[in-house]
This record gives sequence, C-alpha cells and structure tokens, in this order.
Amino acid sequence: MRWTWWTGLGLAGAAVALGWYLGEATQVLMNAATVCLSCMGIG
Amino acid sequence: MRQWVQTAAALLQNAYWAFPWTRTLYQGPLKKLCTPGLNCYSCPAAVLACPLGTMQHFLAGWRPALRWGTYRLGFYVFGFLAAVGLLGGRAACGWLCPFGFLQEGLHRIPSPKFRVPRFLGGLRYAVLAVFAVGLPLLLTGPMGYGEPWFCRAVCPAGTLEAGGLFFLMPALQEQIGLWFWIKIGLLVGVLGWAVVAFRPYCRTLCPLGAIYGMMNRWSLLRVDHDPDLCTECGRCVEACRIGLDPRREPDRASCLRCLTCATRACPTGALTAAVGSRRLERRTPCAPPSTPAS
Repeated sequence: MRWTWWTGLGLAGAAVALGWYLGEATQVLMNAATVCLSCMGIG
Repeated sequence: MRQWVQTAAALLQNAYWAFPWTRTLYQGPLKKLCTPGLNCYSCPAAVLACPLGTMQHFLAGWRPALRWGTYRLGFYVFGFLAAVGLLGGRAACGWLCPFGFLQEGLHRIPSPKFRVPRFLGGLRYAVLAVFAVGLPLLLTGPMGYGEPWFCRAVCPAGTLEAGGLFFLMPALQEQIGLWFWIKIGLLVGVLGWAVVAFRPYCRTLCPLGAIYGMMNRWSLLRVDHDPDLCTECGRCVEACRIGLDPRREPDRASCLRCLTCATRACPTGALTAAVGSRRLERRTPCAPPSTPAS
C-alpha cells in the first residue's frame, strides 16, 4: 500500500512536470486570463 | 478552525481586488497554477485557474493536440488533480473550496432542514462522465476543438463568479441567451437547496468532488477508527452532516474530510484524523459524554 501510494504520487508529480515541460502551464494561463464566455453562460 | 481556513482560502483564491479599477481579469503568472477547489477563473477577483475548467479545456483540445503533435493533453492538470486527491482526498472540498464554503454559509439561514437522498450521490459521476469529459472530447467543431460543456451548461460557481463580468463589461449583456437563463435557474436552485440541505451541490453534482472522492480510499489524510476504543455511542453519526457512519465507512467517496467526527464528536478517541498510518493526537478535548453532540 505504502509504495503504491508513493508510486501514484510520483506519477502525479511526473505528469505535472511533463505538462509544464510541454508548455501546458502557459496554455493554462492563456485560457484562465481571458474572459470565459462559457462560464458566463453566453458562449 | 475549519471556517477560518475556508475563509482564508476563499480570500486567497480571489485576491485580485483591483478589478473595479482595471475593469479586467487578473492576468498575472499565478494563473499558471490551479486551485484545488471549484473557483471560476473568470471571476474578476480570481488569481488562480479552476482545475475543472482547465481539465475540460485540455480535453476539448485533444484532437488538435494530437493532429499537430504538440501533445498538450493535460498532463499538468491530471497530475495536479491526482496529487491533491492522493494527499487529502476530498479535504480540498471540505477545507478549501469557496463554493462549498458559500453553501455552508447559506445552510446557516434558519429554515426547515432536509436530508439529501443518498442515491443522488451517483449523479456527480454522471455529470463528470457526460459534461466534464464526454461532451468536451466528442462534440467538436470543424477545427476539431470541443467546448467546456460543464462550464457552459451546468457550473453554478461559474455563473455566480463570472457573472461579475457583466458589470465590468456591460456590452456582454447583449449576448445573453437561453443557456444563460438555464444556468441562472440552476444556480438559484442550487443556492436555494443549500439553505435547506447541507452542501447539496457538492454531494450530487460536483464532478471535482467526484474525482477527489474516488481517491478518498487512498489519500494520505484519513479518518482512522479504532474499534477497541469505540463505545458505539453514535455521536459521530449524529455529527456527520453528510449522513455517513464514520465508524463503518470512513473512506467513503462522499466524505468531505471535514474531520468533525474525529476532532469534535468522538468522546473516546476511537475516531481520529490520521496521516498515513500515524494517528494524530487531538488537541481540543471532546464534549463530556453527558452533553449531546451538536
């Protein structure tokens, strides 16, 4: 159980790092910093 | 203590109070980071990105990402959701989510109170599968992009928080149509329901809670039950506002990890919060056995 949990957390961290490397964080910023018309119900 | 954490979390996630003067959203680097709870990034005060909106955004762009070889498939947000879930399970719901906090505040309004039927809990998995994953992936336009359908058709937090933009940008009011009124109706229904039931949205509709709840079983933060110390007094059952029996189902997916059962209700210490296999010592004494649980 314990090593399974650490493996899961390690995979999650690796996924975050890979996403950051691929530029996903910048994409998150671009998406979150523009007005979301869908969120407002008019998109 | 939990209310203080919830208040601080809501304020920190919505800390951009210059918006009435700038008349725009916060666009700084903090928005590269996701918040653990449901907090719309189109709220004029929001400084972090909503993980559910971000997840749908990546799912909606899967086909173009594969076609053009960018491979931006959302590793970042899926890894973030897994990490939050593995660390605390639904503790993010119980302690950090501003929309959950709002519902708890509404529930303090004096009124008749009702239980949320347990079978409705399964709805949140359907909402996750259909609106947050299925439709953004499958309903794509000519360029291959989908849309964040949960944000568009359901999310009451988005309706409430992004609604502030109608005041900052009045020109947007001209675009109000059917979807807007559907979402307003849903928002009013959820907020009204929250007055008479405890956090009904979190328990029946929230896909983010569904994701975290699936990891309650494996989360580092847990509620630990020691049957040798338990007197079966039932105080934990009375104290649980979700309607669970923490003695029998401490890891159930609907548990918000508010820890009330462990930190305030249990008079013998049979239920305690635990980090991994380590039980945490309680610092505040429980009510004496003759006092009814609140």
